[in-house]
Amino acid sequence: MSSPFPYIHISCPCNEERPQLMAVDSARPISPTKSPTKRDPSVGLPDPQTPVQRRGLQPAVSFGTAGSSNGDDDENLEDEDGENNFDPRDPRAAFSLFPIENLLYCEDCHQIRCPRCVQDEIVCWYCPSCLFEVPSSTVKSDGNRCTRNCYLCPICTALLVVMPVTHSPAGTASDTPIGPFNLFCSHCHWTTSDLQPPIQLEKPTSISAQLAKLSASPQDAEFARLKQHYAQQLGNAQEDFANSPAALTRLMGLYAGLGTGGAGRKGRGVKKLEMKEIDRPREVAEEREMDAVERLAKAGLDATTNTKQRISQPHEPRFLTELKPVAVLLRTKRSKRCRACRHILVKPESKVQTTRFRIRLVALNYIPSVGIKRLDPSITLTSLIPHKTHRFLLTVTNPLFDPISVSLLTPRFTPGTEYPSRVTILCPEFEVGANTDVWDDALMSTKPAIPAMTTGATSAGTPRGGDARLETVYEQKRNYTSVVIEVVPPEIPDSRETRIRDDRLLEIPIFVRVEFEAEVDRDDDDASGALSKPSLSLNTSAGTAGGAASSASSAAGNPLARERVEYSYWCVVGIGRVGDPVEGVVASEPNTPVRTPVGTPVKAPRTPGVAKTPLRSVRS
Amino acid sequence: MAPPRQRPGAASSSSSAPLPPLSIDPSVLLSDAISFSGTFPITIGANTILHPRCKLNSTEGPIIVGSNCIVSEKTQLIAPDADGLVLGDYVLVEVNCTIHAARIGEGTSVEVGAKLGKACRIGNNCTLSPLSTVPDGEVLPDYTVLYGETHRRLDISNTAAARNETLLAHIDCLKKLLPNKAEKYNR
Repeated sequence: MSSPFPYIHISCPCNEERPQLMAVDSARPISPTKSPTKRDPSVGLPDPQTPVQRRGLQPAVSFGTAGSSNGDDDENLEDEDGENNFDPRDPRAAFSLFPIENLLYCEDCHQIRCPRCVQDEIVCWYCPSCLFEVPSSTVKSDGNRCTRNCYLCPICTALLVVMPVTHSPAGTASDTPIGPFNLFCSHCHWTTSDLQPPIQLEKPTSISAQLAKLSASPQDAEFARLKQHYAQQLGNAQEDFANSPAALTRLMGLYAGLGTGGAGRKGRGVKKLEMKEIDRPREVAEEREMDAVERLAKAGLDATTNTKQRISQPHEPRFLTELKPVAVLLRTKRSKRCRACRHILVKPESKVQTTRFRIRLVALNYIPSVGIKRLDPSITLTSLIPHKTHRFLLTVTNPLFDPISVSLLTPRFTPGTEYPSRVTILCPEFEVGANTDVWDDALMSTKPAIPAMTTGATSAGTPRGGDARLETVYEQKRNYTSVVIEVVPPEIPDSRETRIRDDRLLEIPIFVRVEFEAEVDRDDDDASGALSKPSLSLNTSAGTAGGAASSASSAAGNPLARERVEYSYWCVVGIGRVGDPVEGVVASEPNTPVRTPVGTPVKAPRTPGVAKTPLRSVRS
Repeated sequence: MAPPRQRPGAASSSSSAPLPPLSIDPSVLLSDAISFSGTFPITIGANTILHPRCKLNSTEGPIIVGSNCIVSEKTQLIAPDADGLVLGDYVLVEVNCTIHAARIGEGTSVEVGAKLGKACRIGNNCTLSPLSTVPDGEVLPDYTVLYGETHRRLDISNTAAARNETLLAHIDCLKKLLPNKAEKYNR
């Protein structure tokens, strides 16, 4: 990943080898009647590597805010599978990691959609220079370039303007400029009069038509020759290509013949169309080549085109004087569909001039986003000090209009490398307020829920010495909450292998699980499951967080039923790079064992190296 | 020996620092808050426009600006040495340039944010595209166009006369728009 540190990439569920439609269930409300969904094992599974588990907490406390005993049983059944950790170094993972700004959200699937799992549909073609919409039929017939007056300079790619060739003095300037005209680049002062032979136009309008008349390069002549040759052959066999059932059988016969290795060609009355190659595919004029050599000797290398210019022009000009103005490439406006449910996720206004969107379901508005920053400004992200405890602030921001409760899980040691870093989230469970109006907070007095929440988190976390603030929620504002994450990178030797595998890159996978109460979706056909939910969530959430419990109880009394919704995803936090060891910094805490002790199966050291990491097995 | 530099934006007449010897044509349009500093003489030719807040520093040598030039806002003209800085006629200097050159030829336009290194010499009818830089002591031949990162080409479009005319029209327009505060600098 080349982005500057720190970066946060979210894993789209499409990287897993599960059918997309199965994953749809993951965001559905948890219901005791339903069988556990595909996502559930990774959601509720008490990973042996999670810090919460290491601290000896009960899984029910760490994960089970809404999970029932039923869910716990299922978790135990699947517990033996330790492969649930997301490995950011997995080759497969690289395809699904995107910054949250690049992600969309399908409201029907309740799922993140990355650029890989949406389908683009072109709404319209337009020229970015004149903002003229080009109909698709014209694009098909005339190519994907502006067919009006927009041309780019072949030297510096700026837009060309039309100028009269002969400059008329200011006194005699009339309203209508007199020709001939040329195209002029106001940036690098290139003009079409610089060419050999110079291109000069009679009219200042309809430039494409005039240029089309002028352009007659040897390449064009060659193309015309080839086209004529093949059109002739096609004309001879025209009756075969007529839109008739016979033509269809003939075509099918061709394909069948391909399939059986040519055996299908015999018999069956299928006549294969025989095309003759043109005799001389390319004509090289000897004189012209000699001319080019002479010109090169005279003008030197400065007069030749560079590779980019040569490739971008169809006639492959060798000299700067042979360059032609380039018509502006068209651009498209696209709508995007979810590949799983075919619903539209993005739909721009079809008018070219407006930049608005009719539909735009970006993930930022639907899923809580994670941010990270240094708690200690002296940390340099590009060279983290081995064995030193680096503290970062992990901020979860809530875009929803309901308060959410968040659980963050992370492997105790970063997976996928032989030199794992120790990662601890000091307060892995907390609440994030609703994304209410900014003024609500200012007008109301302080929320009583915050201190209650903080004490709850304290009791949940293991009591440790030091600043109590670090142990609990570090900061809680209107719709975001920050907690502290501690990272202890190991000492990594500077060898060839570590460089190849980029072991010094420190990426932390974090599993974000979010629960909130939302109004019951009226379209939800699974009404019974939805209705039975509030009571359940009321029972389980009462013990954990005061704020959530109160909201749940108020919801239970409300005739408008509310349901418990959960959502979860893996994200990868690229914190930085581990630097060289610094004298005097020794392991301050008993955290140095790079190899984990026996009895705690950590996946990472068993499968060292990114290249050797096996693809995750398909779980049925 | 060097006089203290004036604070940017301070009107020269109200400032305590003495102005350098100025020889300014009466047809020159001097805007408000131009900073003249230094001790060497500053000469400005006829019909030239100086935008507000441009800075002319003649600490190291004299500055000569030709006729029919435009020097835009926040641009610094700094004489590199005792030979001074000479701007030819019809020179357009855009906003936020730093010009430490020895000579800028006639009809050259220096576009937004260009940086001209110490004692470089720019030929006639050159174009320095926005944000381009010229290294110290560089000599640019006539009709050079500097564009892109370090690209150069010779301008053979033969539009120099037309550009000079456009510049004259530009000056005429500015003369109507900008208030002339030339009396502030008469001392």
